Amino acid sequence: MIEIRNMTKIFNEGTVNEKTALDDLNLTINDGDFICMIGANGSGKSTLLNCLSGAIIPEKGNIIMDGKDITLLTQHERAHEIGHLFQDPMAGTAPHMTIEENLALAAKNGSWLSKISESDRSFFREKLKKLDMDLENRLKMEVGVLSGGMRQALTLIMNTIKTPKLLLLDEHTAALDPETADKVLKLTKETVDEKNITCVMITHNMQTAIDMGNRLIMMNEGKIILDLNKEEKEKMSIDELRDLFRLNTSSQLDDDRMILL
Amino acid sequence: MFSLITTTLELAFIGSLTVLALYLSYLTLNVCDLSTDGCFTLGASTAAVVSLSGHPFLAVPAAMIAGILSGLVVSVMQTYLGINSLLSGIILNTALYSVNIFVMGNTSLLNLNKTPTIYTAAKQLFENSFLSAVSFLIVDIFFVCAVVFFLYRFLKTRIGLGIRATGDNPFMVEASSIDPRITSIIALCISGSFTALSGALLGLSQKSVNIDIGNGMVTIALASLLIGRILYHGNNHAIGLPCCVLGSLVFRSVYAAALRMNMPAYMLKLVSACIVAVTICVPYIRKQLPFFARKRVIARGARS
Repeated sequence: MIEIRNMTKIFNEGTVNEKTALDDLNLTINDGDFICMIGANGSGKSTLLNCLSGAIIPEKGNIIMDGKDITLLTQHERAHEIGHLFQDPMAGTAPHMTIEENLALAAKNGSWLSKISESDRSFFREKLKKLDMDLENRLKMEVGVLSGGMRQALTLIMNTIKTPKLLLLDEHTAALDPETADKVLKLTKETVDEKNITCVMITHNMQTAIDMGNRLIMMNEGKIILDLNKEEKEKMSIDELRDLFRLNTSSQLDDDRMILL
Repeated sequence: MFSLITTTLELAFIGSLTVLALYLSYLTLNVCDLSTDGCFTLGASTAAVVSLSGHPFLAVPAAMIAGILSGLVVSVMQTYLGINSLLSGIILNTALYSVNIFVMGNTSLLNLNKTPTIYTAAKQLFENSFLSAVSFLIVDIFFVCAVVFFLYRFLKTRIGLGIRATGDNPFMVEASSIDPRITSIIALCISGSFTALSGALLGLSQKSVNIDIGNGMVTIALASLLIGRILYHGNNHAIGLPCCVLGSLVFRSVYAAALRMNMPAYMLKLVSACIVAVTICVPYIRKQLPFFARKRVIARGARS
């Protein structure tokens, strides 16, 4: 269980560009939750995920993970428990290293001075086979030559090769073509279901937000303005959700860029 | 002629150790470590002092430890103290000038003419065999092979992969629960030890160490490294590492040939600087050329 208590993050504090990205936010993420998060640009969704992964340290508040306060832990200190995927498919892999070398870094098998063994390779092949992208026969290929979709699928495998306690997905399919996006999304669902990983996913696709997961959260101006459970969510239609979105964000609708599908 | 060839080979092999150090720091970790010059002199002066004190076989490990310390200082400045990597190299380089004179015992020149060193030991070992004339080359080749082999194996280990990824995508390293600061420190310590080893061997083989011995070493090594990268530009270290040694050989051969054609010796640094500048700018200019060609076509079209 992850508890976020009274978390506040302010960018450029004390300047004219001051922006409260998270405003005294409270959230409890239960084990096994799959939360879909929606909200306008600048509503604080990505900041919340970055605070959870350690890329940003909040000014105030605490993050408690299974009874342990992880608020001030650095990114690499919590990376073995928290996976993070970004919109940019290039972010999560090293382009000039081979597929197996990337996977070996994520799998963390053996000692610091050990090399990639044959058993590691067959383990990687088995994992890659699930992608159905013929990557299992290209272990020695450099990741930089793969397409964005392949790299994002590989990043997903890398982030879940050791089952994390929490998986953060920051619009991880937004930069992919619709077909590949569907494939990566399906893969995400399978992986999360299979290992019962607790997951928070940001999406701008209202249909995805309704279809996937067991919880739906809407954010606005650094606050959670809507938190629906599975039943409430299933009753919700896209139009209702969109109206709710408009109602809650009406004050700033005019000048805010929003992508509502 | 024979001595010209052996001297060229000797300088090439000894210099290639600095090239291999840059292979790790500049090429793999993607950090331009400008403390190379000072670190090179530090290795030379440490090895000379230890040899002079009567421990010829301790000289090389002592120099390498000094190099590790130098690498530790420069990497801690970069990672934990937030000093820009170029700047921390320059700062350390300046500091090492004083340190080196201190190590050499308040003098800027040490003479090893009558001092037993690893080279005199090798000469004794091969005294009556057909290898006696090239005994010093055997020492150099031994160290080059050892370093190439070490790096080849090391870059395949998990920590080696971590270092390569730090140079490639530092964010991804953090996501793999590795602290990129630690991988940077390890890489720069190892690279420092090879630079110092290179300096130590040069000092011992020349039988004299002078405070300027490392001046311009980083440029010469970069030139050799870039020549090596022209020969092979891939990520297979089994080929890439020997190609760096080859790059050093090519560089020194060109230089030796130029000397034979009466180029004055002081031109070495100008030539190496030109090689570095030209090798780095050629790919960039080549990319720009079609753009300029199109620009001219458009300009001509607008006029007519």
